[in-house]
Amino acid sequence: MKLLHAADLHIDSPLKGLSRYPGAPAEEFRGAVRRALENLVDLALHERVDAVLLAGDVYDGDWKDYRTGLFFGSQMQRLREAGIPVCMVAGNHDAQSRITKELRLPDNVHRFSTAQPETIEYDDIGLAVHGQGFAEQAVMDNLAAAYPKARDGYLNIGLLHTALEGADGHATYAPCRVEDLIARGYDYWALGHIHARQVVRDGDPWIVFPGNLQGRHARETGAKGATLITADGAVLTTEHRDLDVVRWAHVEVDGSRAADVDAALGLAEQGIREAVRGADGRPLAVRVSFVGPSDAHEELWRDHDRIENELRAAAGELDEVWVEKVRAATTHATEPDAAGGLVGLLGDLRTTAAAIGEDEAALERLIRGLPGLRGVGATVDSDGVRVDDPEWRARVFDEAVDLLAAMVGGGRGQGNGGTA
Amino acid sequence: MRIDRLDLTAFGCFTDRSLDLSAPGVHLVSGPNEAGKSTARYAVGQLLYGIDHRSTFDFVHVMSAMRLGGLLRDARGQHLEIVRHKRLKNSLCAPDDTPIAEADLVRVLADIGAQEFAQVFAMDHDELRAGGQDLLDGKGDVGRALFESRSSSRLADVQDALIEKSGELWRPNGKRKINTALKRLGELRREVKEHELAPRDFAVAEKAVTRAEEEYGRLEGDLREVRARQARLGQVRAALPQLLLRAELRAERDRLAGTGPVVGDDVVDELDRAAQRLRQARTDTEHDRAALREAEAELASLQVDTVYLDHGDTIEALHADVSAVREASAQLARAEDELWGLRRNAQELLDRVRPGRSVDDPEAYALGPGVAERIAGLRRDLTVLDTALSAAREQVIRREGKWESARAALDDMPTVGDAEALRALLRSVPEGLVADITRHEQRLAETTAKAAAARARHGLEAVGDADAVRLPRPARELIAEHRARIDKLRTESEAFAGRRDDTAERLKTAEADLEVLLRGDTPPTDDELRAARNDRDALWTALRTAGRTDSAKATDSSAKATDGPAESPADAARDAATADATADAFERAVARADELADRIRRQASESVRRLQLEVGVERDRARMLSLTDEQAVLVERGKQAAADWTALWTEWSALGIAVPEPAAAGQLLDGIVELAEVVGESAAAAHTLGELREREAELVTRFHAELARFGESTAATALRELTGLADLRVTAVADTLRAREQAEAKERSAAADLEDVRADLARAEKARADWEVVWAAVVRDLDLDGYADGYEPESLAAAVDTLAEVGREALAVAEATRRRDESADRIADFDARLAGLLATAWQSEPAAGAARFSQVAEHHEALSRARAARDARELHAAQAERLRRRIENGDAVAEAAERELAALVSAVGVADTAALREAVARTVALRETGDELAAVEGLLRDSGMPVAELERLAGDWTPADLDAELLQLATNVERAQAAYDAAGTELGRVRQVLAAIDDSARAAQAQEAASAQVAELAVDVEQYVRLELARVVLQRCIDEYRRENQDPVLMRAQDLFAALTDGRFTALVTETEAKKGSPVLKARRAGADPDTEPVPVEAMSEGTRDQLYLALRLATLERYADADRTMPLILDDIAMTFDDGRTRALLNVLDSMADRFQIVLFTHHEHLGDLARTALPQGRAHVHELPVFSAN
Repeated sequence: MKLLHAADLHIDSPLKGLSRYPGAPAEEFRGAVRRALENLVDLALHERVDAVLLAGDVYDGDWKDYRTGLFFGSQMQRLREAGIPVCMVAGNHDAQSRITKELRLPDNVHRFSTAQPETIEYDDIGLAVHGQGFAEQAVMDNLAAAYPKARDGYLNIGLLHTALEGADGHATYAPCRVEDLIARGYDYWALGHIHARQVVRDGDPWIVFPGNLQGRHARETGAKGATLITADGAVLTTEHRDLDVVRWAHVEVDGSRAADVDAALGLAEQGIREAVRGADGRPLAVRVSFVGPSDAHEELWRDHDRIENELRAAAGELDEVWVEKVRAATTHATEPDAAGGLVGLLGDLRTTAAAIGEDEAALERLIRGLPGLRGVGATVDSDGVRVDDPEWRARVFDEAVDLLAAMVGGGRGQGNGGTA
Repeated sequence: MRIDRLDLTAFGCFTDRSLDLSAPGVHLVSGPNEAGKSTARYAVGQLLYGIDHRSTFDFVHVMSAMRLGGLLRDARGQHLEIVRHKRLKNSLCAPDDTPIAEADLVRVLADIGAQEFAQVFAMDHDELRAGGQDLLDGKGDVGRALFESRSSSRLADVQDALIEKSGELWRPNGKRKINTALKRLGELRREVKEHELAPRDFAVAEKAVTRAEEEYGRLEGDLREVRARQARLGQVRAALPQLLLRAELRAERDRLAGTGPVVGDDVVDELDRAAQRLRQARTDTEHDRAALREAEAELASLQVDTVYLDHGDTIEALHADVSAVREASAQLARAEDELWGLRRNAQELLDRVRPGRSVDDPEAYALGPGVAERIAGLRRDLTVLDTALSAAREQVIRREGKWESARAALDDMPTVGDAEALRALLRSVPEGLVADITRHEQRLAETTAKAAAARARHGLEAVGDADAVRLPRPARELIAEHRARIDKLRTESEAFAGRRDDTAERLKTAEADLEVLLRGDTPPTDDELRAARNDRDALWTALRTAGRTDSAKATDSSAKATDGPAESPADAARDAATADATADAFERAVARADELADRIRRQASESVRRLQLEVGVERDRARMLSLTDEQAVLVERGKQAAADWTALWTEWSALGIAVPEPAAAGQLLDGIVELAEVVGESAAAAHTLGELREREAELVTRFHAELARFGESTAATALRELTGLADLRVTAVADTLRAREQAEAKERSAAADLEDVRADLARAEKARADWEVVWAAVVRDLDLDGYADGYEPESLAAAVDTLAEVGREALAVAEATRRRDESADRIADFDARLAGLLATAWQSEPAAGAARFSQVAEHHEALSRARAARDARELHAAQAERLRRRIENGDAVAEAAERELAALVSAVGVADTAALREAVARTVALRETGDELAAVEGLLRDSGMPVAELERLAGDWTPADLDAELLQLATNVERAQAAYDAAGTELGRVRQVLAAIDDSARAAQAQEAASAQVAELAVDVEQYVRLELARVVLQRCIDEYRRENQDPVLMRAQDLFAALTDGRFTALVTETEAKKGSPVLKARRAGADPDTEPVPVEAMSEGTRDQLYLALRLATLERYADADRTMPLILDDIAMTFDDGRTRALLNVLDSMADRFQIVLFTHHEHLGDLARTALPQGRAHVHELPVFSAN
């Protein structure tokens, strides 16, 4: 028996953070999420799987376009025509989505109840799938605890959208412990919600997050896809299949290895080339961060635009690479003025900055009061400008101080002689 | 921190130079351009913070050898001696090369980093100018002025850059990046909304389709129903006339049936047939009888002549032959004429060839078979043979001519010698010999030039090539050893000199101090002190006594105040005056005694001091003597070292080469090594060149000899030229040989051709002779006597042709004879048959000549007439017979028909035939009515409705009512149809709406674009926020700095400014600027009325503004001094544009600061040193001269 387990499709949610620039391979990135779903269905057809398991978050919560549902329906119809049943539970996003409520799906798709756990048995293949969907966005109950015991004589699959005991960057919905899952006596727990692939337990039972189908922003790096489960009697094996259409990578350049900006650029380009090699021929969105203490610190901050343009131009010579962002997060190679900063110019700047930065409320007032931000907060969503986020404010403020220090410090007196 | 000594060991143009910067006061480092002033200044930072990774100061010392050193003194007076190397690891060391941690140095530097040092403690003229300009740009803004003057950082530039960059991103109501992006984002969001399909909308669209389908179905039913009724009533309306006709027909049928008997259908038909037959038979017989009568009358009128009929065939035959016989008669006459002509012609021809013979004898002209063709063939052969023969003869003549000319040409050819030896010589010339010579000549020239250059570079002009190789080269270790020894001596000498100078200085100071002490007053004696003390004590006793009396008196007076009268006021006053005088005297005595005691104490300490000084002077004088001895030893050692060093270079000196400095010895050795190498290369090149030239000379000699063999004498000696000549010669010989070979070949070819054509001629002559033999045989066989001797083929052929012609003529005669005989036979036959006919039928004779043909024609005409009469008679007889038979038959038919009619009348039972006819007519009418009725009923049935149903429905309606109803129904149908159509359209529309809802990703794509826009916007907004925050931080920092430092810094700056302007300005004041509300800096002129307006920055001269900036900048430094974080103040030509007065003022200001900050002033103005010496107190100005650097 072959089963295909996927989760967190988030159909039609856009790729984020990719600001367009001349030469950016925008066409290659268009509709990537939909194409990844098509890849999933293609794989199911090609592997002639016996069922497809979708562990929640088919849609993006606040996305309302019903056509997204129709597209999903058309893909499910392809599976129906091949006689492949689909089992799906609603995730937090699906519970929020209005598409879920209105959409009629082909009769090969079984949507599990959101009121209580439910079991569907496929006698012809000896498969029993247990599942319960989210009735509302924030389900804080341990749903797994109420799942029924395994059915004898069947391959038992638990389908659940959960954060387990919590994970970075993911709300702790439907929390449960691994022991709760083991206690059900199933063969395989098909989980969803965590976007990174994760084999929580590799047998007896298997507990697997397949990760999402397609990385959608700079934090979702690396290969994305679904898990193909092969059951030979009671013996299960799994393998991850890459289905993503475009890929994300984060190239961190160690600033301490760069004596100057040219060297830093060289390292960054080398990193991008390595990332391209790792993308298996897929179009690549790459974020470049310069980190650590660096001799090129001031130039990296001061000439940020030029550096970004040069990296984008260099990436343009490779195939289908989109430089998403270039971030300078370096520090001075040495901090000669740090101890004596109380008297020096930079020290004064730091002191003033520290005083402003410490008063969070004042900083917030200061930022909110910037005339250019009027109207921006209301227009740009939380992925762009996060004026409401204290962390964002603190980061931008720190960067502002670094930028200022670089500008003040870098005007003249290069070299240790300084007076030449 | 101070730098007591700066060692420019190996840096830029400097080698082993030290600057002693330890003395108090102002240090001036002076030197003309190219003296390395900038290098020395730059070296300070490089020493403290490391030599630049990509240093440009390696033009004398290679990177790895670059070195700086220094003796540093921190704020507490602790020394640290350092050496700075240009290397990645352990670049900081102690003099003994043990590494020093950078952190240790950082502590000495009071944690001031490279950047801060460069920006705060170093200043050059340009910076001063820029600072003054910034003051002007800021219009004296105090905060900015204070902030700006803290360092060389141009805050104004930073502020401007921040504002400019921020402005590129956003402007109120502008079209900057953020403004535009926000607008575009709004558009994209609207686009998303536009393309978005709400889930509800899909359900609504689906429901609309269902409803429209239902409505469409209902209206379809209505329409069908009303149309059915319309159709039914329409059928009824259409059937009404048929129903009426049907009723009428039925009534007619009934009426006919009631008027009499009817007959069967067979009777009707039989009656018709019998009556018809009877009528036809009677008509036919009447007609036939009339025709019979006419035929019988014709027969009676016709007669026939039988004689002609009996001889009809003979007459026909004769008549048929008439024209042929006429033709035969004419033919006969022509044949006779032709026969005569032919015979005569043949005889004439035969007579020409064989006279006396008759054409009637076929033998006379007969020829053997194929003779004529044989002769013709031989004649053709003859033509061919004769042509070939004459052509062959012609060829022989031509070829003979050609052979002759080829032989003559060959005879004219010159003979040549053999060039193989010359060719071999050419081959033996080595390839590239000449090029090798040229290359080696160049190489020799190059190496010679290189040697000259090396000599010039290293001062080795006096060294010959042999010397360069031969000269002894002291080992480098030995040189290093000597160098170390000399260096050590120098260090010792310097240290010794330092010690001696220190001692001398100390001695001088001590001697001066001693002299002062010796000049001092003599000390008071003990007696004087004792006397003074006695005076004091006496007075004290007096005073004490008086005091006790006063006290008693006071007690008395207080008692008296209660008990009795007091002392008089006059006494009291006197007593008081006495007491005061005593007290004064006592005080003076005390003071005097104290002063004496002090003087004694002081003198004692001075004595001690003097003693010490004397001891010290003594010791230092002794030390000076010992130092003089030491110096002598050192000088001796120095001389010895120099002599040893010079001994190393004895042979060099012999050649006039100056003994090198130890430091330069390595370089000199490098030079000699280089020179020796070059000389070696040069010698090798010269040797090879010699060998090559020898080879060339040998070849030249051989070429001359070989060329002489060919008679070529040349003055050329160059190998290249000789090989060219030889090449030309070899080519010429080869050409001549090739031409002779060609001529020989040509002669051989001509001779062969001549042979060939001669053979052809012989063959042609033989063929002609053969022909003659054959021809003679043929003539013999022909046996023509008259031609026995004539062998001419032409005439013989003509005779043969004539004989053949005679043969052909004889054949024509025979043919003409045959035709004449045939014509005669035919005429005779005709005449015989005519005579026979006439004799038999009419016993007459035929007419003569052509008349007999007319006779035959007349008889033939009569025969035709007789035959026509006979045929007419036979025709009429046959017709009469046929008519008789027909009349008989018609009568029989009429009788039979009459019998049939009678039988029918009887059978029907009517009275007669007329009654029978009536019954038959009735029967027919009934049948027609029945048919019509059936047709009407058929139509009714075809209406699709049962006739009974139709009758029933028709019964309900009158035609008028029915028409009205139908009209109404038509309207109803129309309405129903319109409603149905409308529902169909609506259904189509809503179906289209539903169908238009696809699974496209338009909204998602717009959302993707919006997301990209958000990303772009986020980047710009973040940058905007960063820039704005940076601006705020900077502004706040400026404000805070002003608040905290305005008073102390301005106070200090005021003093400095006054000093720098030589007192022309006395005060700095701040005023709040009316427009901006921010404080601005102004200066008050010396002696100006306090009420007059102070001078704003804009009104100051450029120089004054520079001085104000300098004053602010120097004042700011106090902060560092307060925090014990001082560094040497490195100033570069900042007085460049100052006049002497201002320069003096500046030097005094700097000197006043010099105890807090080490002041090092670099300048290229020589007179600045003199100025400093006169302007500053003795020992406060220290000038360090740098000589001009020469790369040589």
